Amino acid sequence: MKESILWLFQIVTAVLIFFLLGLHISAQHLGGFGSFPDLAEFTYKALMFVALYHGLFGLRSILLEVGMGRGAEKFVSWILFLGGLIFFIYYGIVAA
Amino acid sequence: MAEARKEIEIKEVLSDEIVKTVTFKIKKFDPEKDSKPHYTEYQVPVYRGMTVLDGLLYVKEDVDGTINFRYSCRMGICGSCGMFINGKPRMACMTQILELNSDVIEIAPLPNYDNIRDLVPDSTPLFEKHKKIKPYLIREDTKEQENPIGEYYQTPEEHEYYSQFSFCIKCGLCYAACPSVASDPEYLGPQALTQAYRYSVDTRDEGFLERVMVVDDPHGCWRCHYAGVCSEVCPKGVDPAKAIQLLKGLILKYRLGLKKKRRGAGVIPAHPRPNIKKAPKRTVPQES
Repeated sequence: MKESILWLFQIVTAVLIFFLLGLHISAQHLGGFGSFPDLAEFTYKALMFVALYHGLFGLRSILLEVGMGRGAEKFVSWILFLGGLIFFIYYGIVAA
Repeated sequence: MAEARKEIEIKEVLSDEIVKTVTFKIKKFDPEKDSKPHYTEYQVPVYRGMTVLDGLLYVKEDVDGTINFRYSCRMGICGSCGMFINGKPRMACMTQILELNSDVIEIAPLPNYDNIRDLVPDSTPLFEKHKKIKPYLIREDTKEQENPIGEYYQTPEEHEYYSQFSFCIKCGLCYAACPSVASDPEYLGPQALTQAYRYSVDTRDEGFLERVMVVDDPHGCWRCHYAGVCSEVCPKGVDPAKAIQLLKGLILKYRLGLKKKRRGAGVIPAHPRPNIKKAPKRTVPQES
């Protein structure tokens, strides 16, 4: 995927984290939204997804700045992508 | 009265009178002799209006002829004399010694470049990256470029889109100041990215897609963290940080399908020019 689109997702997820975190805290910990009992679970999964993307893309940017060569950059990108995917599938779907 | 006062002011500015003596602490490095760079100190008498380049020329001519530095025009046009002066990348010819307000002036070669000798940086990466973004007008129809019959039409308003960014003199100060270049040597850098934007918004150009292939990369414009030092050190007011953010916006618009495709400016005959009067007749006879 083009770097511009990945960067755009980084910005979009930053905004989403802001709203989802507020919703999640309200639904899960402050007992709000009583008429929407599934909201806590939805915000938990959505927040995990966007936070994982945002955090791992940030980590990738830091690692790529070290200067490791194009081959190693692709390897690092795939490792982070697969790591994030496995983390989300396990903690967001299987164990949730 | 006012004229007399002005004359006194001019005399003060142009006076050769020594105001003070400052210490030039110059980083020296000869790759054939030295294993690592070292500093050498020189005493330089300073007069009003004296630049760091004048001081270096004094050292070279009267004190130590072995010192090496690069310069050419002495007037902030050629971009050759970029140096790291008192902890900041500056043009030696545009830096007044007295304005530095210091008795010791530390001069080193520009950071983020390899050092060839003394104060001479190896500018090859700067020019290589500049070359990568194709800093020239690209046309789909190359026939006119190869055999021009006129000029590409451009209004003054269209010229304003890129005018500020075309003042770049390739001095490389922005590249030396950039923290992203320092951590990522592959990063295209503020100079090249600014020029990518400058040509991409030029209405005569049709090479936007070719440049996007180069700059939409992990080491392209997305590597800029917007520290803004490039704009702070630019001696010509180009504002590369702004150009890079505009370039990001332009690429995103294109990727999201929001950028309107435009054809390059059309060709108009070079003569006659509308609204431009003919040049007056010669007042001095032409030499044969």
